[in-house]
Amino acid sequence: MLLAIANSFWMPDLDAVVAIGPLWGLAGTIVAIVLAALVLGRSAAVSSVITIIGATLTAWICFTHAPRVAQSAWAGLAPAGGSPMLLVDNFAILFILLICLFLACVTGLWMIGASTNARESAAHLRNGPEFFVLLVGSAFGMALMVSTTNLLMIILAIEMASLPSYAIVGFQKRNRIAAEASLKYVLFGAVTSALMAYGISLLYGFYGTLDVNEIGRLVSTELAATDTPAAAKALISVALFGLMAGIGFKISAVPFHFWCPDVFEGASIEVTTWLSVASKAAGLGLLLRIIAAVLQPLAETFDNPLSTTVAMFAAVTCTVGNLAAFPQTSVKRLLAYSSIAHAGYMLMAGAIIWQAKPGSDVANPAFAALIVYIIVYLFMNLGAFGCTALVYWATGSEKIEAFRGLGRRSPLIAAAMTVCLFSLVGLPPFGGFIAKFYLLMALFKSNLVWLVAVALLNSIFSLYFYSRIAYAMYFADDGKPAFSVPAFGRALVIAAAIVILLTGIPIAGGLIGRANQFASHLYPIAARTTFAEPQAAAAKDPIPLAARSAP
Amino acid sequence: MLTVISDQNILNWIVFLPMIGMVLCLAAPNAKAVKIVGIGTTFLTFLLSLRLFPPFWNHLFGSAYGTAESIHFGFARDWISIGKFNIEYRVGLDGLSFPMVILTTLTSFLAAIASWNFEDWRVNKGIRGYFALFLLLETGMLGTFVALDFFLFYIFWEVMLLPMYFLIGVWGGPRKEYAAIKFFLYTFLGSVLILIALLAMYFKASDVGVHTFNLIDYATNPAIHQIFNAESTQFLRWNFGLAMFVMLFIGFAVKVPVFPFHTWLPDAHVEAPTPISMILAGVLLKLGGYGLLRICYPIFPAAGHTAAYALALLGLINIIYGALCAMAQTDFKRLVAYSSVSHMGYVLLGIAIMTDTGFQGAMFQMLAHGISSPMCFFLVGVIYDRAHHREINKFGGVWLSMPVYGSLATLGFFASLGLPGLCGFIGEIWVLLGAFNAPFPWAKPVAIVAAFGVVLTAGYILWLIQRVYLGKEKAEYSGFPDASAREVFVLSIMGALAIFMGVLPMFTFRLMNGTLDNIVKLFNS
Repeated sequence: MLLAIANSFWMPDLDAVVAIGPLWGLAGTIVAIVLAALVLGRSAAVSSVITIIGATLTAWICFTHAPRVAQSAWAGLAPAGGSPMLLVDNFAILFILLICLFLACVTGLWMIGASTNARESAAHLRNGPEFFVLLVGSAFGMALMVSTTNLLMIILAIEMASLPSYAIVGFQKRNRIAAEASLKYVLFGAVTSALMAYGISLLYGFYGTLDVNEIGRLVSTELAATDTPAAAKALISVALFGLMAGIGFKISAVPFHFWCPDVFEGASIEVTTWLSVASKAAGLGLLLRIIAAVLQPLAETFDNPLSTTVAMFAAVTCTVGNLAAFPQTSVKRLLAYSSIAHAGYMLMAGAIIWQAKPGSDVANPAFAALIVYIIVYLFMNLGAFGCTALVYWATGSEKIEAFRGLGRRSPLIAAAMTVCLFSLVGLPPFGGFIAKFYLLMALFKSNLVWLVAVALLNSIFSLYFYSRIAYAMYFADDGKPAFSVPAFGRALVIAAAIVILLTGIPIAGGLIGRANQFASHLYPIAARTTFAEPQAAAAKDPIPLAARSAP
Repeated sequence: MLTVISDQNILNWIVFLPMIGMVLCLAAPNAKAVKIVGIGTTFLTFLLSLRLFPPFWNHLFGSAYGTAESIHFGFARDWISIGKFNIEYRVGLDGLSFPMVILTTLTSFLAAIASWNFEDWRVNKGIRGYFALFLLLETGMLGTFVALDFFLFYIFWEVMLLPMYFLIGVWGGPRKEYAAIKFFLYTFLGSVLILIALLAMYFKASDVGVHTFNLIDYATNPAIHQIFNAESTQFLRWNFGLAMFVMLFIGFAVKVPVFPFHTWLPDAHVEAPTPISMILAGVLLKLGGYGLLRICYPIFPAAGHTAAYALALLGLINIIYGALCAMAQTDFKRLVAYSSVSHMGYVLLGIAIMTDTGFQGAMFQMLAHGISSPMCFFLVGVIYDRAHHREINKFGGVWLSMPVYGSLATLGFFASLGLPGLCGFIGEIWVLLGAFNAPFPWAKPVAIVAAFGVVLTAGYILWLIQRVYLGKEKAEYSGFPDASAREVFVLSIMGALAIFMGVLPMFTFRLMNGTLDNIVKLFNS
C-alpha cells in the first residue's frame, strides 16, 4: 500500500526542471521582490527595478531555451507516461517572451507615473512591493496559461493570472471607481471560472483524461460515431462551451466582455495597459492551443462546424467592440472597446488555425499571422495607452477633451499617438496594416471571404472613432497651454511609434519571415521528442457516452 | 551628384526626395526656412523628373505592353519575400505613368509656391507640419504613379490618405472637419474594395502557380490572363473578372470622382486651402483614371468590355450632371469643383470605349485638366485672398481693377471651357471622336449627348466670367492690388502650358500614345 502511494508520487528529473526555466524566472522574481522587501525595507523603487531585471532575465532564459526546443518539440514536466502538466515549446517561449517584454515596459510606465504624479504616487510608493508581487504574479499565471494543455493546469493558470489581476485593478483603495471595477472583475471572473470548472469536470467525467489533445481526438470519434445520441452531443457542446467561457473571459470575447470597459476605466492606467495586452495575449495563446487540439481532429471528420462557430464569435466580438467604441468619451474606455475589437481580429485566426496538417513542414499562415499581429498589437497598445497616461498625468483627465490641441501643446506625443491610432485602424504604412493584411490573407486563402469583409468593414467603422481622438488633437484647440512630459515617457511612446513605423515598411518582410519560420516549427503543438512516447492513455477506449448517460 | 543618381535609381530619388525634404522641414529653424525648403524640394524633384524625358521623347515604347524595352528606369528588389510569397519593391515608368509623374512634380512645385503666403491664411499655424505633410503627400502621389507591384501601389495609395486628411482638416475653411472626415471615409471605403481585389487577384494567380503582385505580370502572363478573364472563373458566386473590375472601379471611382461617389469632392475642395485644392484637382483626381488604365483595363479587358456601357453612361452623367451642378453654384470654388466632376466625365467616357483614340483622349484630358483645374483654383485663391469671400454674385468688374489677373483668369477659364487652341479642347474633342467611332452600338448617341456637355460648360464658364470679371467696377474691389509677381509666375506657367498643349497637342500625345496603343493591343490578343 505504502509502496503504491510512493510510486504514485512523481519526481521530475533535472532535465525537465531546467526545461521550464522561463517559469522559474518569473517565480524567482516574485521571491526576490518579497525577500528584498524583507531585507532592504519596503521600497517601491527596489521592487520595480527587480521586476525589470527579472523580466529581462526571463526573456534571456527564453532566448537560450528557444534553440533547445526548436523544430516542433517541447520539453517540460510530465508524470511518467502521463500527459504533460507543463510544456515549454516554441509557442510558449514566444508568448512568455512577449509577456516579459511587456512586463518590463509596463513597469517602466509605472516608474514614470510614480515620478510625475505626487498625489497618487504616495500610495503607489508605500505599497510598491505588494503591487509588484501581484503584477509579476499575474504575469506568472499568464506564462503558465500558454505553457500547458492539461485541463487542471489550465484552471490553475487562469486563476493564477486572474486573482492578482483583480487585486491590482482595485489597488487604489480609496478610489471608488477602481473598487467597483475590481468587484465587477471578481464577480465576472468567478462566474466564468465556475463555468469553466464545470465544463472541465464534464470533460474529465466523459473521457477520464485531462489532456486536451487526447480529449480532442476522443470528442471527434464520439461525434463522428453515428450512434451517439443527440443528448450526448449537446453535453459535449456544453462542456466545450464552459471551457471556452473561462478563456473567453480572459480575452474579453463577446459575450464575456462586459467587465472589460469598466475594469479598464477604473484601474490605474499602467494596470489597464498591462491587462489590455498581456492578459489577452495569454488568453489567445491558450485558446489557440485548445482550438488546434480540438478542431484539428474534428476537421478531418467534419466540415468544420466549430471553425464556423469560432469565426462567428470573432466577427461578433470585433463588431461589438468597434460599435460600442463609437459613443465613448473617455479615451481609456474607448481603447478598452478597441482592445475587444482587436481580440476579435485575433480570434479570426482561430477559425483557421486547425488547417495546417500536423507534422508537416507547411507553415500555418494563421499562426504566422497571429504572431505578427500580437507583436504589432503589443506596441500599438503600449504607445496608445502610454500617450493616454502621459496626457492624464499632465492634465488630470483621460477624456477625449483632454487631448484637444495636443498637436500644438505637445507635438511629439500627439504624433506618436496619431501613429498608434492609425495603426490600430490598420492603415498603411503602419505596422497595424501589415498585421491585418497578413491575417486577412490567411483568411482569404481559407475561403473565409465573408470574414475578410467583416474585418474590413470593421476597419472602416473603427476609422471613425479613432480619428475622433486625432480630431481632438489637431482640429479642435481650446487654447490650453502647452505642457511638458517626462523625457523617459516621451522616449517610451516614441520608441513604440518608431517600432510601428518600422514594422509597417522596412522590417515588415523580416517580421513576417521570422513569424513564418516560427510557425512552421510549431506543428504539431504538443509533439514530444525529448520524452518517451506517451503510454496509451487510460481512457483510450472510452465507454460510449450512450452507455454512460443511460440511467 | 551625377554618379549618385543613375538611370536605375532615379525613380527612387524622385519618389523619396520629398520625404528627405519633409525631415528637413521639421528641422528648419523658422517659417521662412520651412517655406524655402518646401519649395526647394519640390523644385528639385521637378528638375529631376525632367531627366526622365529622353526615352519617351524618342518614342521608345517597345512593341508590347510591359516588356523590358517598354518600361524605363525600372528598379526592383525583393521586399516581403517568404518562400513563394513575394512582395516586391518594383517601380518603373512607361507612357502611362511618365506624363503623370511630370504633372505631379510640376503641380507640387506650383502648389508649394502658392503656399508662400501661408501667414495670410485663416489658419495660420503649424507651417512645419503643413509643409511636412505636403511633401509626404507628394511622395505618396509619385509612388503610386511609379509602383508596378500591386501591394506597393496600395501602400502608396494609402500613404496619400493621412496627409490629405490633415491638410484639409487642420488648414481648411470653416467646415474643414466635416470635409476632411468625409474625404477620408469615402476614400478609405474605396481602398478597402481595392484591398479585397488585391487579395483575390493574388490567390487566383497563385492557383496557376504564379505567386506575384506584379501588375505587369497580371496583364501579360498568358496563364494569369486566361484564368482572370475566363467565363468559368468565379469569385464567390460572380464572374471573377467582372467582380474584380467592379471592386477596383469603385475604389478608383471614388478618387475620379464618378457619380454617385463624387459628393466628397465639392466639400473637400471648398474647405481645402488653395494649394491643396490645386493638388487635389491637379493630381489626386488623376489617380483614379490612372488606376483604371493601369490596373482595370490591361488586366480585365473582358470585364471592361462587359461594363463599357455602364461606364460610358456614368461618364455621361458626370459630364452633364457636373455641368448642371456647376451652373447652379454661387460659391466660386464649388463651381470649379463641379466643373472638375464634369471634366473627369470625359476621362471616364474616353476610357470606357476602349479604343486607342478614346484612351489618348482620356489621358490628354487628364493632363489638360491637370493644368487648367489647378489654374482655376489658384485664380479663385488669388481673389479670395483679397476679398475674403467667394460669392460669385457679389463680385463684378474685377478685370478693371486687376487687369493682369483678369487676363490670366480669362485664359485659365477658357482653357477649362475647352476653347479651340487651348488644352481643354483637344482632350474633349479626342474623347468625342473616339466615342463616335467606337465599336459599340450605343457609342454614337452617347457621343452626341456628351457633345452637348461642351455647350453647358461654355454656359457656366461664360456666365461666371461675366459675373466676376466683367461689368461695372464695384467700389469695394476697386482698390485691390493686381496679381503679384509670384501669382503671375504660377499662372503664366500654367497658362503657357495650356496654350502649348492646345496648339501643339502632338508633343503631348507623343509622350504616351505608344503605351496606350500597347494596352489596346492587349484587348485584341
